[in-house]
Amino acid sequence: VTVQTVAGIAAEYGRSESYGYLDEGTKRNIRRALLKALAIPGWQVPFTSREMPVARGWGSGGLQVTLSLVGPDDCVKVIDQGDDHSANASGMRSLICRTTGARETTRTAEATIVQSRHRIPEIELTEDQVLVLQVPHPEPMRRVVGNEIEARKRHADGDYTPAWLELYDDEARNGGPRGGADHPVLVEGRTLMSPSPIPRYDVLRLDRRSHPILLGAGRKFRVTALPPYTRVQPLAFDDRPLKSESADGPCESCGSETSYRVPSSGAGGSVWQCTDTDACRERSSR
Amino acid sequence: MYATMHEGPGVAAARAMAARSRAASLDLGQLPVLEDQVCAEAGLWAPDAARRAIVQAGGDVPRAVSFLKVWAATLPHLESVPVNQSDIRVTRRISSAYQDIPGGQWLGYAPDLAPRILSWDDAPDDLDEADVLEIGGSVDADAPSRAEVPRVRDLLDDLPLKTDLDAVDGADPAVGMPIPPFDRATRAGVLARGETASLVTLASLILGRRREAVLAELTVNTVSVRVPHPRTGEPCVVAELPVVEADTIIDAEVDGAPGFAVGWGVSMGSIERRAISLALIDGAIQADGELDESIPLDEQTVVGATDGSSNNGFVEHLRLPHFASFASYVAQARNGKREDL
Repeated sequence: VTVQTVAGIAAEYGRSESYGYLDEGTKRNIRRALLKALAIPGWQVPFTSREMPVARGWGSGGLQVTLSLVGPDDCVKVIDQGDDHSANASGMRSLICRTTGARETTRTAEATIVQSRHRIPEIELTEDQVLVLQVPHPEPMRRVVGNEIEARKRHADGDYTPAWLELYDDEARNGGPRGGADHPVLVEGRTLMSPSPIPRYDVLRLDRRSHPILLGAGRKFRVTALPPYTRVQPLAFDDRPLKSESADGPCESCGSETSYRVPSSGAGGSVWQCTDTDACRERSSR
Repeated sequence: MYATMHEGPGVAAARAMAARSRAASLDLGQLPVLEDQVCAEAGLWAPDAARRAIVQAGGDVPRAVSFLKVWAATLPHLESVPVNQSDIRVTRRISSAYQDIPGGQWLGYAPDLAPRILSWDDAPDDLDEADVLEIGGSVDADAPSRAEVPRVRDLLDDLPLKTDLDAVDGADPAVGMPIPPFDRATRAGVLARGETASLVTLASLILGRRREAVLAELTVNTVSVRVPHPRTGEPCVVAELPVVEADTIIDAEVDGAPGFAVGWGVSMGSIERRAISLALIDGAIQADGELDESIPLDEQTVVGATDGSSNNGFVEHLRLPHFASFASYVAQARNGKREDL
């Protein structure tokens, strides 16, 4: 019995590389891992992380997840810090679209797949969109439980004492969590997960979203997933809720006082600027 | 041409430079990065001698480094004067901490922009040399001097900062290995001759344990070195060499509250992962005094530490923009400072 593969058919038609860059075996492996991850929200599932044409730590995990999902009818947006035009994001977007025939976009509303590093788009995604996040450290307890096997046991037991103790220590000594981005979240009140280094502003927007979120950590060979409408709460004590970042002024470009803004050195000295360029542009044009 | 890290003419120019460099390597069989590495590890800028050493060592890098060191060991040593800021031409300058920096970002030659795909085509790239030159321009023609470009790390002045600015001249490792304890300058000089992979491995181990680490500034420079004229005493330029410099910002505890330490690293040549690694190691020492956090030799650490692709990618990913996540940590540190007032 001869088994025809998509790569084989592609080769017959003179294509030198398989559809969507990755070979079918790898894509199948990633899809299986994603299905398992969706079945156990917040759980870190190992997958065959390939060496990619971007370096490890440069979005190789997110890229593999996107390539295992994307089809010719898709429309792909890739952002870094909220920006479509960052060189690495635009490099990955061209690779995805060149190898799949998918359309490129910078408009959040138009995309079927949004791959992002360090931000969740401020224009709300809908049920038929997928968000792929690039993750550097899938293990939320990496600083307090150095041993991976020990950490896995704690996940299995739902025993997050070291994470709670770290938070308590920060509250007692510092009056709040000492980290900035990448604040750990409890998924369905059960599994502790790293939401990737998104700011607290975005961590607070993770609860019960209408679309799936798939998180890929290529360097650590893990995928994690949040199915639609999953309950996601930041790790916090009942009387000490996690607070969003604050900015000292409205966005220089769109004037928003509710967006996530970062300091930037504009023409007239230091100003505040949105990092989600698409949302900022939408607001400006309104 | 100044440009942000955004897609645009700046990136197009940088891509053209990357393509040109690749074309040169293919055409002339040059291995400029390998020569850089051998020079940096030997602590001696002599690319021609390095090429010779690499060939005679059959490509064995530690052996080639040894050839250079042995050759230099018995040569006379001239003391140079400290490099003048106006003798440093900045040919590439990026920051991952801020979206825009005073003086702007200048991509220059950015190898990351070329995809990591092995080509089986031996014919030279179908690049029109004239086009490439036109887009890429000359690397150094409009490069500003360091004296004209402000330091990004100075933007941090209103944040809780751990600083150790000892302005002493370090001992020169070229004239003999200094005896510990080292001051910061001596340590920087010794580590600048470190083996590339060892530096990256250490830096990667450190980086994996931090809450926050970004690049304030990474520059590739051409530096003129001067020695006093034997008769007039006037400092004269005797050599020009590429130097890569990095400032990292690392989370640190300042008076019990979250703050920052600034790490600095500089290496001969233009291998950026060397300078980034040096600056990460220095930053961690600034933050914690000694690197007192023990790194266990357990199975996971040992296996992880030997994964070259992972370590290099992880250390070099600091070049990617981090302004959204960095601002989050800054907001936290600022809150702490405000509540103190």
